[in-house]
Amino acid sequence: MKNPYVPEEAIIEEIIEETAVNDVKTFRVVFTSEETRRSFSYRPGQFAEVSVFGLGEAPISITSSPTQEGYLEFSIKKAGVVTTALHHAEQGDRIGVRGPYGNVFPVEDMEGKNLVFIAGGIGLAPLRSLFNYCIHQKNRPKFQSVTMIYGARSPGDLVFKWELEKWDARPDIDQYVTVDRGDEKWTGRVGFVPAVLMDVKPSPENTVAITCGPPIMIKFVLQNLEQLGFTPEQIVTTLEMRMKCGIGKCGRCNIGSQYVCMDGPVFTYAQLKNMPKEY
Amino acid sequence: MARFIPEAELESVLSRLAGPYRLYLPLLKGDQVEFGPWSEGERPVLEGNAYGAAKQLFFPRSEILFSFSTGPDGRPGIDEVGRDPRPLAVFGIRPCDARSVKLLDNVFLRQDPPDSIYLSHRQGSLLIGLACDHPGRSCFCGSLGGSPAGTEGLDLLLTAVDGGFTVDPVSEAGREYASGEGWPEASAAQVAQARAAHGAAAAQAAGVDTSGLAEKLERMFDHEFWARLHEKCLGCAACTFFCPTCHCFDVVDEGKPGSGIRLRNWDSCMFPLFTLHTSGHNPRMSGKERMRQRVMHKFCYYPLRFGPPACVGCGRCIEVCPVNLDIRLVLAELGGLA
Amino acid sequence: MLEGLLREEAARLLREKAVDVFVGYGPGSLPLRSTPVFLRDPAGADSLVLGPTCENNLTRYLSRFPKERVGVVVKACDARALVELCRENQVDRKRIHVVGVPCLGVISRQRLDQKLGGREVTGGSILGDQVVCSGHGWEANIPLAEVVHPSCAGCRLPQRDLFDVFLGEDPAKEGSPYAEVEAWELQDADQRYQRFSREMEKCLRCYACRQACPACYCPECFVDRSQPAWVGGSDDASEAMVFHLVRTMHVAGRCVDCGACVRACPQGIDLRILTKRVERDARALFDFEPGLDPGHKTLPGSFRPDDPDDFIK
Repeated sequence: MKNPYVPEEAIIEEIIEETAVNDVKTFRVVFTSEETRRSFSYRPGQFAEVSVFGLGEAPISITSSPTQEGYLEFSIKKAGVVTTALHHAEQGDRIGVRGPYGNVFPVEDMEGKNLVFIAGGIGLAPLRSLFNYCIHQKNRPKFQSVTMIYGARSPGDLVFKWELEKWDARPDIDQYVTVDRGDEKWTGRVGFVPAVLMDVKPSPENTVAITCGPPIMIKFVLQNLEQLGFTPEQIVTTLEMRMKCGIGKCGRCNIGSQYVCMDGPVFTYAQLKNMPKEY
Repeated sequence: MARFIPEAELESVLSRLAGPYRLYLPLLKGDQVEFGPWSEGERPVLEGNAYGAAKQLFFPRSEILFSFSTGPDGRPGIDEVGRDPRPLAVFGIRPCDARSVKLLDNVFLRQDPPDSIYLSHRQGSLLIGLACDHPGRSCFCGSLGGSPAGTEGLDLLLTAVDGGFTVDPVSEAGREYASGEGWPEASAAQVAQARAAHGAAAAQAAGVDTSGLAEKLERMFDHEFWARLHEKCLGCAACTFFCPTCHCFDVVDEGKPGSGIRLRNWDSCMFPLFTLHTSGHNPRMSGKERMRQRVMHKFCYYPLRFGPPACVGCGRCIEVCPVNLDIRLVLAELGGLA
Repeated sequence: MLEGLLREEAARLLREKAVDVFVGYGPGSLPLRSTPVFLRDPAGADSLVLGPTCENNLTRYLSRFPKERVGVVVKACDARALVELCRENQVDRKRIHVVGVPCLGVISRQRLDQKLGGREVTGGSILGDQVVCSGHGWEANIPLAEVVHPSCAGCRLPQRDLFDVFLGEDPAKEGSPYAEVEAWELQDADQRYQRFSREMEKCLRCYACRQACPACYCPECFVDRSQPAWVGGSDDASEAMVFHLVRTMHVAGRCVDCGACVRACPQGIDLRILTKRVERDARALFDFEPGLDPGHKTLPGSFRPDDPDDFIK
């Protein structure tokens, strides 16, 4: 039987520095083995365990979309031992990747509906997979309007700026980018994400809201969505949790009887309301 | 059909087991009875229960998941750890511990993907249990659906009777092993003595009524009970490390960058670090939340997911707790709460 | 009689609202055990117990009540710990009502088990200076002195001004506090290392010792650091050695030999082979004994020009 803890070898093909202070980098990685490249099939919402041999592994959401074939992307904030080591890695370095793990965004349920994405900071990373999947030319017709509300503390903290420009240029996407505090060069919107949400005022009619960000932002986004008339069933989020094994064994990510690594990380707000507040 | 092993035959029974199996049994180590590998002439301790739970044979305190080393081409090479291919036999395991192995199976084998490392210990294992004639002072298996002569998880159940042991085959593998051994049929008197011992022991191992507890706990997350329960708890991991069903672990690398081993080590929900995010956020920030998690996981969350409670009533947590925090009293108090 | 005095005192303190919570010992669920209790109602005071089963050091709990006024039962060893906690500004002495109690020594469960050859005790009580215990088909009377914890030998009471009240008189303790260290030093280095290794191999890293220790109050223990990771988590004895050696050095000159770490250890590891030696060194080198004089400076926090330094190589 296959040892589920053994990662597959992958090469860092490209590193993109995302933020001004360089605490977030996006890594484009490619499996060394042709067969793994074919067999590693994932869907938006899933994550993988990324290894730096000798230092450990960390659960990271897959930020690329399955529509981007041949490689995976991970956007990683420098925080712990493994993510710091990854930030020191260079193009061509070899790392380990195992997965994909976790559940997926309910894409089928979203078809035929308006989508409102609400993200803060690095919280855009897990949503980006779904977003790019939905706006891919193959899939875009399946959805009604697509809105992106994205914010960060400062212009320098915005991630995927290179992509935000592309999204902004598309007529079939309504995009609102905001920062908590601007700087001398910033000409865009200034304001907190939950407030911008109230300005945009998306209609809950036939709409799904997908949100991810820092806990304080989530708290107010959820409040405001409910104020706008969204039911908990219409709100989808993805949880961050301390994890180790990723495969429902080590017990670390348990919230009540749920394993975030298997039953999550994607939960509707309705589901979260029925779980212990331990996230 | 119950069979009989005369006391004098025990040594040769063990010796035969030790060929095709990696044989472990309760042995006296220092002041304590612990499971250890059998060697010629070694006498198992057949009174009381092993100090450490039998789970460590299937889920050791520290275990290598794989090793790695970076070759001259910069490519990481992965090596699986070589293991004795013989299946494990555990002789003299008590029914509570055997039952706990079934509970561990739910996590390690029933949830996909199965854990190949755990399976390497579990596959083909032979659990030869020994019925308890004197349940210990902390035993309460009867409160949790077990019994001093329970057979869940066992392949064979032995019961001490005059002059030896009756053998009740439980599983197909147990039946097969017993018939291969050619042990004689137990006499009617021996069978009767074993049954009487089972009955007498069962009466000593009950205690707390845990019926309906999972459903009750589901509604008790915000109950004030938790604010008091953890008061005396020191926050060590003695209870979880000695618990036969606790199975949380940490995954860490050791060695130097590029070459070393990836290990899993026992971890505990009683440690603050267990749930601490790298960001500094901790969903279970104090002893209150951590103690609640331990009780809830055993008696609510695990049952919701898998059916039975994740406690077999072996009483080890009661014995090892430095401040005598007794789970039986916790359960009794929970039972009395409205 | 003493229990009666204690119950009265606790009930009075709670009734008169002199304290918000009273930390003492209640009856345990196992023979010859007691368990920490936290009383907020005078009615609960009737359940308080005293005696050789009171093995926990309750001063460990004081930091959990940063705002409340706390009454606490302290034996001589616990009182020494409290002296250090106050000196290290971990406990606000003004918030604590210190109830000193005499102690004949606490039972070492490990010693008792050894004495009984591992037979399970299902019933037990203390009668004068005898431990009366029974099991399946046996009974035994064991002199308490033979099963008191090794740390009780030569135990000393701090200066009386530490206590708000002292119930009765603390009996003088017999035995030399350093007999074990001296016996330890008679062994050669190999023997000592073997014994040390044997003890360390037993360690499961459950951290019961650290959690029970009144001096181990660091918000983050060095073993829990991940950047850098000072200690690995595997079962290699060398990892346990690093943990215990560093912990020993961290409590050097602060450890009051209350023995709580040893009694908490589920594996029966004799940590005092480390702590007692360091304690004696502090005494020999710096003429310093922690836990006795509330007015004293801490050892790491004091300096004299003639402090010896020849151990610095």
